[in-house]
Amino acid sequence: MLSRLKKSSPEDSELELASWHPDFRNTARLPDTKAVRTSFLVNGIVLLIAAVAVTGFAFKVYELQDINTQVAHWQTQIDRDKAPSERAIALYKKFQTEAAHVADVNTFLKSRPVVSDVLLHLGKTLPDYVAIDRFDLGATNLNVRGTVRGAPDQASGRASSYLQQLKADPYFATLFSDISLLNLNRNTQAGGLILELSFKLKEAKKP
Amino acid sequence: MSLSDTVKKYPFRAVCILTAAVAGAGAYVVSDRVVQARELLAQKTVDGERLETNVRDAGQLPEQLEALTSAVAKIQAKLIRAGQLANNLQYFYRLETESGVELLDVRPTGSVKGPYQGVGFNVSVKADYLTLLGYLRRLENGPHFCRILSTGIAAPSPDRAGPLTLSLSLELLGQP
Repeated sequence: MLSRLKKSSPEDSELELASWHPDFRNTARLPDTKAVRTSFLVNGIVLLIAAVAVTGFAFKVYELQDINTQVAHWQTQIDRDKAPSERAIALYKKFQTEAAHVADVNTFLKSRPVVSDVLLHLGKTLPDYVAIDRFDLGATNLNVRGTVRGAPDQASGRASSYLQQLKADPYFATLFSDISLLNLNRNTQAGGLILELSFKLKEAKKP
Repeated sequence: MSLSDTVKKYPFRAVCILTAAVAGAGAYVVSDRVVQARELLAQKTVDGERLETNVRDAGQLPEQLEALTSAVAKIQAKLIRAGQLANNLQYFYRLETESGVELLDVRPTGSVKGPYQGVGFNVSVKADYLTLLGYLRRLENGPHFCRILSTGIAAPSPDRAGPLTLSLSLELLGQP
């Protein structure tokens, strides 16, 4: 018991390491007695690296082949569609040229109001106390001059209500952006009031 | 220990390392080709889809073009020729006869430089209101495309007795 408690000195450890007889073993030639041999581990790792590299290479080759197959597929489709597509483009260019002519006609006709329609609508919605004396359509405005029957106080009220009626008219709203009263003067010859209206054309285009 | 000794001593490891090196180099080379092939595929896909769309969308194009060509031929027939003054004035005289107005004046204005442009005319006619309206409707819905640039309709006298005078500045769609 006392010997175990005794502290070991360096001399003691030297004594323990030193063999009591010469060691004739050739450790390099002795078999590896570890549970998993170092050589097996190294071989395994090298094999794994090789397998990963080969798999990576194989995958890349497969990927390239797959892409090449797709390219070939698209090329076949391109070869098939090229001629019909060129014909379609030629047809479409012709179509565009023809459509431009139709658009020209449409622009030509839509650039100005249809005067007969405006006159008809003006006549259809004209109150019996108003008579039209002049109708002047210009580049940007339509000016209408007429006579409102009645005594001046009554005629001015009628003129005002006629103006409101024109402003509320949906047909005129599509053609004119503003309708305003330019003048309302006494008609000394025929009686009543002379009414002058200005209709401002929408998107007025210079002819 | 030389390399050959090492190879002789560890042939399996040598073969594995050599295989890994060759496969790695091969993968590197093939990767480069894959990138190029991907670019080529993207280009071919775009081209192929474009052509396919062109062909698909043009399915009814021949019929539509035929219909449009037919419509344009009808439009062409309605165009006047600016150079044929006698024929153009004849149109207004015929309109006078058909509508019953009295043609006071008709004269061409300006010149046309290209197709589908307006050929200008100044026209003055005299008639009662309904006849004038009929004249305008014939003009605007007649055999030629017409747009009226300016119009003036005036009552002849304060008592509105007698025929009205209509002054028009108009264009008929035409070609030189």
